[in-house]
Amino acid sequence: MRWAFFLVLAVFSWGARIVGGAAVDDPAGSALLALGCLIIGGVLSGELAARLRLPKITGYLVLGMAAGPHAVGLETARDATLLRLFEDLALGLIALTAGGEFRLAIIRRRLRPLLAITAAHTFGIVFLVAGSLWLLLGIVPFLGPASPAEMIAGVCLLGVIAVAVSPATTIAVITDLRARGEMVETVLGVTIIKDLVIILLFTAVSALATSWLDGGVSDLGVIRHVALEIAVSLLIGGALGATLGLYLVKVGRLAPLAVLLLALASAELGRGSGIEHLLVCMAAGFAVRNLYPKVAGHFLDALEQSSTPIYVIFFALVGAGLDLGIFVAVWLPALVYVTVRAFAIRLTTRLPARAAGSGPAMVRYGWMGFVAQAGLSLGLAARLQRDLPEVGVPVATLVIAAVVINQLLGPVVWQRAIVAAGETRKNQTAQEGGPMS
Amino acid sequence: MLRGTIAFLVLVTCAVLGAELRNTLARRGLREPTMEGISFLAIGFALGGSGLGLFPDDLLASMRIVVLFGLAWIGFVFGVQIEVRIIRRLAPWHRWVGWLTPIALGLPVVAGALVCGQYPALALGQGAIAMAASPSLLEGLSRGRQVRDRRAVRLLKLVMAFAGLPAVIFFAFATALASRVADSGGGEIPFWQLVVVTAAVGALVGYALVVLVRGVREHIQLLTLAAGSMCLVAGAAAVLGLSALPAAACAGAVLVNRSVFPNRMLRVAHSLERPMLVALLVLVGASWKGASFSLATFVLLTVVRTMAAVIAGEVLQSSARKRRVSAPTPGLGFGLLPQGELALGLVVAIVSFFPSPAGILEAVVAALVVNNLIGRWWMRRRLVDAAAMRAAS
Repeated sequence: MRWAFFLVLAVFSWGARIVGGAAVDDPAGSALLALGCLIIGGVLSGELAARLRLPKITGYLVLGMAAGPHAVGLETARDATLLRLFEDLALGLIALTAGGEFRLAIIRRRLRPLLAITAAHTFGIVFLVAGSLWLLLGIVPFLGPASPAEMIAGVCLLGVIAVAVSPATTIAVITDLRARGEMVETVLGVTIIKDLVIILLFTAVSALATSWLDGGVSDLGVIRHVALEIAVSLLIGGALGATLGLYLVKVGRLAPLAVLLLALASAELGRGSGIEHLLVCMAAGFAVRNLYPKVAGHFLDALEQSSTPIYVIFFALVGAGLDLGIFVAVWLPALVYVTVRAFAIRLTTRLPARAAGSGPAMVRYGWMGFVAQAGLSLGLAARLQRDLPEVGVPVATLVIAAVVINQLLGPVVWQRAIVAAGETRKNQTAQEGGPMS
Repeated sequence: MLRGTIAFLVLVTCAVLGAELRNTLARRGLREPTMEGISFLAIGFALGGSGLGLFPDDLLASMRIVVLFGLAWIGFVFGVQIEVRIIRRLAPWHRWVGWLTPIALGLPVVAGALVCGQYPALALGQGAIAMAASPSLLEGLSRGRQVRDRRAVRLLKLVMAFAGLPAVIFFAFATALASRVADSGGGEIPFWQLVVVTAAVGALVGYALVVLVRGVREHIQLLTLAAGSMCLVAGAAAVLGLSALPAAACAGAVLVNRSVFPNRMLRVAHSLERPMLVALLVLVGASWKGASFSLATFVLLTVVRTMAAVIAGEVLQSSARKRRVSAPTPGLGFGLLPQGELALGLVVAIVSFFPSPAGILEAVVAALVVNNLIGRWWMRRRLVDAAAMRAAS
């Protein structure tokens, strides 16, 4: 019955757009219609996914894909541009949650595994994925008619992008299951640190590839510039977080509005500048959590409680942006890329985790937390397409196709991992002797 | 590059200072929503193009979605307060008084605006604003204090509780007339059909929401579904050339009267009301380009409205005396002057929807201040025991 009414509303909004479009061309109204359909449909499909024992965000993503401009077209490309604001806001709030979950005590307690796994991922995944793809190139020329230099640059860049994960997906599944524990903390920590590392690594490899293909000298100044931008992002985030914390302590009223404004300010900063929106919000969340621990708990609880609309909007919009057509075009190399990446992640997580003395759950299931890929990978692919068109176009195509698989598969395996490791709240309550204890 | 950050920091600072000021005023019994709303308009003005220039035009244009959604939400909040079963419980006399008194406040303003040469839609819109009396100030002043005439207070609250309904109905007609697709506006559709479409859009989405929230208990889940529905109302209204506020009010009314748990939906609506109103007012303040003032609107909403209120108050008293509902209270009509959130919402809707509303915002805001000051003065003098107030503070 509820689905039937959703379909009525979807048809109504489609009809309203056609009827009204002739007389009043209002892009904001059209975008709101798309957003309304995505929100209501997202909630319903999230519930359906939960009934099928899948993560809710898988439901949101599938609904987004079905409604997006590459499928039914309830949301058009023009709507997507206008809804960027909401996507940015949701991403900012997710990043604030991620930063807020990252306490100094966790870093101190799990410093060894965090550093070991991050280092292993940074070098191991690049090497394994790039090497395997280089071998595959001999059988399937998925980079098109490329010179050896372009092939090397292409596979190296694909290797670097394979390191990227989706912090939003990681935190969304954790929030949904209200998970706590060693594995969850370690995976979250590595995800956040990798987010910093991947931007630097990508910039370095991309700069080297550009200069090599152009026959020039490597411009290491670019790397310095990016490192500076990251540092500035973190500093700005820290300052904004400190201000927000002060506000929460001194006033406390209209806190959700203040948080939204922070996310908005960060998104605005990120637009057209080198400032990373995600990093600013993560640093802000980290600052609030660690500088104002008394109010941070309350603030994070509020963010967690309001996670449903944030995740519905964000993941439905991410799903709408995924192009199934590209996946169909390059499905074979994409499948190989995804498989090799998953294998590399497994290997480079298990070995260092065991060596650093992590618990058996982390050693066995931790790798599953690094499968999902979304915005960051797509952003890197888009940047590559722009900066290095010779190899960028086929690489970006492959990355987009792989993201479709990883983003659908990632939340599912990550949820399975958390459940198997017994780090959901339900499991913890049972271990502690039930809710009455 | 740093404009967004500076805007954020300034906004937070303003909010901190505003909250401190508000607390200080509240301790002295001076709290009222209109003044708070105006302070947020002022903050927006200070941050916007006419002030610090932190909200450039492109940023404001991208915020139009927020404005449309915010207006829909304000309408929704109003709609979920219209419970037919409560209205039915009232005696017929109370219902008639509740309906007719606000209309008596609005009609002279509409007539005056037409005489001043304003176009019919704008005249009706101002009439709707004139009707939107708010009980917030009266409730704030009389809560926990000795009141001289409880019957008069109850009568005023009754009228003010009803006032929003004719105001929103008037406003629906006004927006239909002002619509770009209306017959009078160069379009082809008669305006009364647009009123019907507005109500139909609201009713359809409202009824769909009734089904969607069935079996849902979590507040955040209800809020998400309600927000999605309001996006649909705001979007449909915008693409059809209608105003979202009356359509959303209709959706809210359908929802609250068909829902199994109307109180839950009321809580949901109120939980987002304040942030939406603040965001709307700041954005409207930021987009203010400045320096025009419609003297006609100001006079209509102050002098004409006050005269209408005094006459309506006298008629109301004489009718009440006959039925022994209230003892005589001199100048009861002055108690109908204070206005609140709905009036602010309506003026925001006029600014964002009506063609060429130059000078209206400034005049309406100034009129709201004057009306609330006069209303407060009268209420303190006639209704609330001054000695008791001093003792309480």
